[in-house]
Amino acid sequence: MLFQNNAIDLTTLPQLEDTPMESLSPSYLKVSYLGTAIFFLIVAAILISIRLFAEFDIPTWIEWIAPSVWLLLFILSLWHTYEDFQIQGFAIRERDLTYRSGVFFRSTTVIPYNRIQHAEVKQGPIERRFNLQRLEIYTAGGDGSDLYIPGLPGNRADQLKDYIIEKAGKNEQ
Amino acid sequence: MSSSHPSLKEETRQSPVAILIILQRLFVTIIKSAWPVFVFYFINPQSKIEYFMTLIAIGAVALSTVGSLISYFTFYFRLEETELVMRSGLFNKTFRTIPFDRIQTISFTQNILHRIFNVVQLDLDTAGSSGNELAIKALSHADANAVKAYILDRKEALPSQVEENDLLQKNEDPLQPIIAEKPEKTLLHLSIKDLLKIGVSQNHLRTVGIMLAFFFGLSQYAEELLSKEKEEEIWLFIFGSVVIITILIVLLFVGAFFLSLINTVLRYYDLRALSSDRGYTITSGLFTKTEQSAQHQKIQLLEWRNNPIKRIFGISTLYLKQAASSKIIKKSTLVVPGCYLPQIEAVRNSYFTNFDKGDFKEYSISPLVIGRIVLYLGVLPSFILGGLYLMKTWWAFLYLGWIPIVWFLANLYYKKWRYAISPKGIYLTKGFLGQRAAILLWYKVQSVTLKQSPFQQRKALATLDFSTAGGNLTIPYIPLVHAKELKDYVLYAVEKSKEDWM
Repeated sequence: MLFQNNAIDLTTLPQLEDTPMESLSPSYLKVSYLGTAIFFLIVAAILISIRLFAEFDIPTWIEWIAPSVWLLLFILSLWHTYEDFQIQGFAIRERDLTYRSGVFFRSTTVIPYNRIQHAEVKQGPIERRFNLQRLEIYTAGGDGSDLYIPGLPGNRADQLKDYIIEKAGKNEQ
Repeated sequence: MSSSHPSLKEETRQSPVAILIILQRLFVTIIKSAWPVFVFYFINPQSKIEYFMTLIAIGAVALSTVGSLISYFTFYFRLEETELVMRSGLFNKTFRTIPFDRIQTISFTQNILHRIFNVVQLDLDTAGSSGNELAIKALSHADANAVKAYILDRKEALPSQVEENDLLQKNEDPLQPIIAEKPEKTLLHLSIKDLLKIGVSQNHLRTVGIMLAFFFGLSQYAEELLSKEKEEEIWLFIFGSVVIITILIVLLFVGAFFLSLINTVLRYYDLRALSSDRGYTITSGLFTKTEQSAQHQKIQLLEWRNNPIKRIFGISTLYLKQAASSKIIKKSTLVVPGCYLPQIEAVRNSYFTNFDKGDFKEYSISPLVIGRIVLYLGVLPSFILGGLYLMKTWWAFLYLGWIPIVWFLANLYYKKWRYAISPKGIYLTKGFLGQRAAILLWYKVQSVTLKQSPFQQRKALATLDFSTAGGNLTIPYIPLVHAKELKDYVLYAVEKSKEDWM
């Protein structure tokens, strides 16, 4: 019971948890792995060039510790990328859109269609390669309330955008 | 005043006073970024830094003069039927159209220069996360009022899609303000006594912080000078500095007190809060006179705060948070210091119509929040600091004394956190030593976020975040079941609401 003068029966309200989440495209997992790998290769390149060109002496223990830490973090990041992919998902309901993310710090954001200011579909060069799109949804609520859904396959993002814009338009009348 | 300003429909420059104002602003910016050089000069006048000084001074004057002339002569704006068109820039040209229906707030500001020449700065703000605001740096009073009236008038005409006949009729006298302004009601007028109360009860610790930051900036240069000291003189110096520091701290607090007081008088002198059918207008200031306004439907969220001293005086600071782009959300918030309970209630009742405590059901947050605060703000910092200094001195364990202080404050925080829910909105109170309250109507909500940290996942707790166009409202550490229920209800309320959130 949320309030004192209960006008509506809360159990009849649609519950978000009833709607199944749609997960992102499996190619997005590949792109994320690729991104992680590239980042760690760059870090490795920097570390190696320091080792080769350093004007000062590097203690032996650092020469052992640094690569092990690098490897450990690399494996952890790959694991994190995988877990993150498993958790990310979105749900389209009749009147709102939900996006869930976060491995450790879980967050679920819901935006009603009648509060959407505008929506954009974006595609970077790597995403084009993998035939992926990103959907960005903006409300008037500032940065915290905008949604970015990455890794949508094919023209799914375009479809979603059209659907959302249509719904947002209907609500205005 | 209207028909004497038909020129605004053609491309118009700002008032020439703008040159002076831009000049002053550029000059101040340049000098500000060079101030350490001046300080160094005063500490150590023998250094050859005077070459740089001369260079910087000449450069600053030359740059700001050229800059202000360019920016004045390349800035044009004109008023169209439905939008304001602006162009500026010498090499990188900017063209910007601001549709009137996107304009959220129109405000006038006057600094001392503006007042000498009897002009105002006109600020236009539009909502949305991509900050897009426009400042016309100097306009004569009459022009500024004409622009404001024209825009407000056009804005009113727009959403209803006025028939063409109507538009034509209005066109005959385009800058005539049609708004039948009902006399404005004075909500609040600060007397000198109120002003003193506000000044005395300011957050002096913040002023101390600002002053400290300034002194730390200086200390960089002091260190350079001190490095010349000899070994044996250092001990004398340390003893001397304990005495000096004690005196300084006393002086710091006395200084901070008076600075806050002066700042209050400068900012809030002759503050008037007026309420009309349209919304609220606040004017204040001793030298720099500012006028800010907010229309009723633009106000998203109300907040009021006090601290222990303010509570003794029975005053609070009221914040009217209106829809604005996230960059200037702080600037566009209307701040009314020195409000007594009846004034807060009046504003609250106009925002939340038919406010009735009986409709609300009150909840508290989970007591587990105490443990988390003590862990993160008490135990962790004191262990880290204690650990760092333990090698140097044995009394580092005194840092552990921080933990019970945090525990005490965390208990206060938990006890004061209350939120009450009604079918129309939410009312909450919280605080450590002072008190904060906020009130939000559900239909102003833009999105809802449910967050869980690993700890919250283990304990089936969650943090709920309601974001509005005027800022966020967060309820931490509530049972997950309850959070989900509340989230589902708020979404239902937002989705079925027919009211415009602004």
